[in-house]
Amino acid sequence: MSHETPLERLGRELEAAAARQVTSMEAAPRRRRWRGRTLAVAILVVGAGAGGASWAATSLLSSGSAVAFERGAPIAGRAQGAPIPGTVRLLADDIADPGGGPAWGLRYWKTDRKYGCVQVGRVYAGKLGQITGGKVFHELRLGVTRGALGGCFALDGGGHAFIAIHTDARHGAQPQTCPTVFQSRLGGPRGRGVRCDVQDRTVDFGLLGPNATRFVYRAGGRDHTSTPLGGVGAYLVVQKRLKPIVREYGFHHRDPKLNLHGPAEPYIALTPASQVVKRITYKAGSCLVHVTMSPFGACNAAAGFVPIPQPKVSDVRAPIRAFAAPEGRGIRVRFRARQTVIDGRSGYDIEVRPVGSRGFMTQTYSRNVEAGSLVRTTVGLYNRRHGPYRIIVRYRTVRPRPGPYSSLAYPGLLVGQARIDVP
Amino acid sequence: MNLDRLSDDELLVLARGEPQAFGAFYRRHMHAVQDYFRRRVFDVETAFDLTAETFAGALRSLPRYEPQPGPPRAWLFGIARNTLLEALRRGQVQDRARRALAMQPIALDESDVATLEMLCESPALEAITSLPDDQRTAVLAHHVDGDSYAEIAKRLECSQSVVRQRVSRGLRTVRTQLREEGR
Repeated sequence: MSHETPLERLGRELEAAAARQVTSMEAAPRRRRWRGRTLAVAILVVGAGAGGASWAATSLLSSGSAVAFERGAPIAGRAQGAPIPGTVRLLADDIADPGGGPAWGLRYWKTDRKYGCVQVGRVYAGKLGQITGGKVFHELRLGVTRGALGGCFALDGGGHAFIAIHTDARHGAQPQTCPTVFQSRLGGPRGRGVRCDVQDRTVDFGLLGPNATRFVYRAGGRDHTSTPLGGVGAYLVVQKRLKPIVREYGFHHRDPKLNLHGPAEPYIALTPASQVVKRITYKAGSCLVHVTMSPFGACNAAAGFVPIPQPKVSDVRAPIRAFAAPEGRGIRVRFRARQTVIDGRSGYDIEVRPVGSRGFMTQTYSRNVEAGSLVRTTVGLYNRRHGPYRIIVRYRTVRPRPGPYSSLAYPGLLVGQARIDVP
Repeated sequence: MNLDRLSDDELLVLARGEPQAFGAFYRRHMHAVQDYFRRRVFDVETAFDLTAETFAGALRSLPRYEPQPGPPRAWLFGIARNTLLEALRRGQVQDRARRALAMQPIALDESDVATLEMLCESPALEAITSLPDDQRTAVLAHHVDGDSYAEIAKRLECSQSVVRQRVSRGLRTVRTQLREEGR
């Protein structure tokens, strides 16, 4: 072979070094007699080496600031809750990137408000994170799910989360910042300009549930079979960006160019529904995945989702007190909760409606509440509109099969109403 | 002596007095080690730097090497892991072993980087390195070095049909392994 590769050159260097080492070992007994002189020579050689060319010309990734908590660090008993110690597991840390570099990994944990969470990023020095500029590693701390690939999803009645996410991302593991169908320059988070066309990876990840034993996915033009991880059915597939499947929406115009086009694969569903995961084998049978925009995905029937038990709700009615916060900062609402809230599957909603206007805003009091305790919250009035408002408080719970977002079912039970004039 | 026929253990013991034996050991595992680092660091130059330091470290430890119950490959990857961890701790690849061996730095130009990238893109290479010695030698000689069956047979002192059989079995094993790993 005429061209010598770097690895072959290294082999030649190593053989030469091995020959020198063999020679020096054979000369070792003689060297003992000349120890003083040899030591002086050795010092000179080492000194010359230190001043000469260095091998270590390349540096590894440097550490940048950790990815920020966009809405603060998780707090026990509030919002999606805080991670439960002992449930945090790095289920995958060796998913190769098609362009090389640190592997991709997936972390899973449960929270005290009955959510199962996943985080996906690049693995470097045993940590999960994102890489910017090809050289700077930003750690993804436990609980960061905004500004990262991941999220928290309500546990089903059996205590397992089900989710399937199909999304574009950057090779540094940053999530996409704008819809796939629009290839324009948009403002990114926190005002940073982000070009939408820099997404160069398609990432599929999620939780197939405890009943999934095997799944087939398509990557690089071939089908691969893999085993879900961690007893929760975790999976992660990273590949070069795939062309999204697009379909026509709405009316069909005579001029096809005027037809509306949009994605045919959901970003998020309860079970896989994208072009990547092809087949899932569950304990009860196998499911062939087809592309569907259903929020429940293609394998809802076979996945083994256990319906979420509905809390027993007795009387929730309570008097509501409301008054204007100083300096027009909003409306303060007070009421004594008769129904307990112990996790994210139920909550109190405070709805504020300007009288005589169609608009309204809703704020979910998303934290645990003991029965009989006083709920105190302030609803901000972003429009600073003066005049009369109607405040409606509802107690809402999730449906037994709520879909991927697990939102609380509307309208819920009426707790009470109040009326207030904002000066 | 045909070094390709020796086991890893035999090569390492022989390498204490025979530099070519270490060269043979290096050629057998260079792709696997480079690939190991390529999956853990961001650029191919750093991976190459770590590979060089790993083999230099192995060469330096050679006088103290004793055959273990486990495969020598595990010993080599132990050195690779320690090299990586130390580099991560210090934020830079160390060159202590290479300096001690007075090895010359290898400057990489763009075509070298492209070559390394190309070599690392093949997960099959890693699978090939885990084949039994006779199959690995035959597969690498035929499919990587581009040698004919006749040349390989002459070098390995066996018939062409034996070489064909080894290549065929080796490829079948690699295919099965890649399929099982879902790559």
